[in-house]
Amino acid sequence: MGFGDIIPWRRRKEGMEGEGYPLTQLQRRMNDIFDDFFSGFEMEPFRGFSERFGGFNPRVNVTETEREIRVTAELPGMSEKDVELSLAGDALILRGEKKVEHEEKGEGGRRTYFERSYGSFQRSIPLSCEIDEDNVDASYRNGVLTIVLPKSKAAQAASKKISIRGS
Amino acid sequence: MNSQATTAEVCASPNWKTISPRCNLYEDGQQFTMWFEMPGVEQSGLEMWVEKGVLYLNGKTRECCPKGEALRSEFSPVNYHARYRLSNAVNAEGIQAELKNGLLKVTLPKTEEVRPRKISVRTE
Repeated sequence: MGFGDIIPWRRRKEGMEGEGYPLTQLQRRMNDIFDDFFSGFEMEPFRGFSERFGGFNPRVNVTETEREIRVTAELPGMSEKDVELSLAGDALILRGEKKVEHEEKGEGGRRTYFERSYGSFQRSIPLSCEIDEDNVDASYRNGVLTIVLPKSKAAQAASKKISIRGS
Repeated sequence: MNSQATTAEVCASPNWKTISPRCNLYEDGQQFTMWFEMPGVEQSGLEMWVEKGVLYLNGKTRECCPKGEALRSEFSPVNYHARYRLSNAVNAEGIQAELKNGLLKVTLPKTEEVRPRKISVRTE
């Protein structure tokens, strides 16, 4: 769905030959470009384009202290079995699929209203330093996944402040 | 339940945004079923009540502000709020709710009058 679909039909008809039509096309193209370009960056302000039209992409917070990096992700209605975590190079990979609940599926009732989004997702969280891989801890509670990644001893030492010499 | 006390409690976190949870609604002959996404809400932070034919729903996420520098911030603690006017088709006495993994399931049974009724056909 693009900009064109939300223009009232009368205006759209008039615009076919007029200035409205190329603008619609342009808007559509812009949406595509934003989607393609920013999907790699996973920037929040632009994430909505794809999420609104189908797929699911969990929202993520990342905080860093001297000792650890902490990642939290919103995964409502999922279980720990639906998520796969891995460390690849200097990034934490969060992968999984949000499915319609079995129970929800089995109800067979008429779907009257639908706002929730589903689908498989993958997010890559860049890690700015070396991680103590053996002591990574992940827990899932109330639909929120928390991953604590302790920094390695070397990384903790490396984060010391660098003093700047005056001339 | 006293709705004013509830509102006051919600307002206790003035800096938190109040948003409507994402919801799916299903209907079959016996009941309506609603599913609300409320990540971060635990049972003690959730309140539901029916008052004058309106179903109210309040949920508070657990406050968790990890220390340190925020490198990425895509969500923050929120208050979830929703309300629905119930039609005559809903038996308000029979409403049930279940919260699991940040997903709230609310079952609203239909009243006898609107439930489909089978008619048995006699043979002579």
